[in-house]
Amino acid sequence: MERSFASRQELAEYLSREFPSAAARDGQISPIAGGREAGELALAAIQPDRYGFNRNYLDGNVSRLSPYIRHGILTLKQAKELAFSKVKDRLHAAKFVTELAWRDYWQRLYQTMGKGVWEDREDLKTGLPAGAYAEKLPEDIASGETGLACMDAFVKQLRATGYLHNHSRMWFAAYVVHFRRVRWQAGALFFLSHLLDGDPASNNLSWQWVASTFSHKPYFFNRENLEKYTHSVYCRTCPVRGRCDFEGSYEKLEEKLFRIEAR
Amino acid sequence: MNELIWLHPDCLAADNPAYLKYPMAKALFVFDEDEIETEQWTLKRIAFLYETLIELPAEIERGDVAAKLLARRPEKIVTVESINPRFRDCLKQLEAVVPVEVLAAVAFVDYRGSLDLKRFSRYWKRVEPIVFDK
Repeated sequence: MERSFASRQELAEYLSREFPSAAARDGQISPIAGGREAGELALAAIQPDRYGFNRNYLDGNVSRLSPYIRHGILTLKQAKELAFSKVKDRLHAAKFVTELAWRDYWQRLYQTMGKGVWEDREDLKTGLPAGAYAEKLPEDIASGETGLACMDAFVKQLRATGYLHNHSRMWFAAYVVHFRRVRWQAGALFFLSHLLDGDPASNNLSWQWVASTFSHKPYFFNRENLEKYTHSVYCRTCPVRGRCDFEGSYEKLEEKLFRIEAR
Repeated sequence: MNELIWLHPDCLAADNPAYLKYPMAKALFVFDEDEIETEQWTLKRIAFLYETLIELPAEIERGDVAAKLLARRPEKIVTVESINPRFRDCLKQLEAVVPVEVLAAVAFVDYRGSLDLKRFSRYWKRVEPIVFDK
């Protein structure tokens, strides 16, 4: 195949011709560039100490290294060593390095599970039967037309860039699986389709963690939580503000979403 | 000997162990059309990989990975290990025809021994002291 292009646009046009089915699914090119040089720029910019404080906020100091690590352009070891070199005490990089360790953990599990990452690792803890979950991702979710400003923005960002902050991934997965009752596999495939860092292990096992087939309880959230970590950027302009699916306390939402018997 | 480096989507660094050990060998990356369709890749991932590949001394093809590698009639194939089941399936097909040297990938932590992977906490209990040199 060709190796020389005058511009990214020319590259995109060439790849659209060579991979027509992928382009038909979504022909956009991410602003996140591939290659070692781009990866090293991202690596040099990491702030592991600040990451420890604000990583859960959408504007926090997250590294965005995942597409490069996923494809072996950078290694976990490189990221770990650079993180340690940037702090006075290794403990100041603890949160950052722990997240790197999560990827190592998922990969080790993948080695034992293989294609089994597509199957429930454990029973659901939602109290609902497997049949309560739809097989396919509803079209309004996939096209970003749910009317929920947050979820629609996440889909738009995912489709345009191939990247989502980890917290957005968790909220979106919880919305799909618990609020809309869709099988986690349908959401996981949607993510794999679009994420630059799409990896069946990290991706599917994280969806299983949210769904509760790889955790002690289902992960979910309420509007207050989402509003806090997004600084209200979505809620502020949301057409259903004050009456969205995520309103209420965790206790109320748990009652609405699940059939968990009191222990 | 006519070695061929098999680049796959888990080892795309210019200093990966295969390039380091065989700096004069030709390298080939094959976009796995079955993987692209099964995982329903969109153009974004392909473009990201493509931008990475054109920085590397490698030829690029698309199609059936094993068939494309074997079509080059190498005397030996060299690659870096991956735990992706697709890698293992392809490796079996190649090994039936030609010698394949699989080099170890750079590890996050040098841990020898078995690990309990039931939950991250159990894994981390063993690995954390090594990572933090405690």
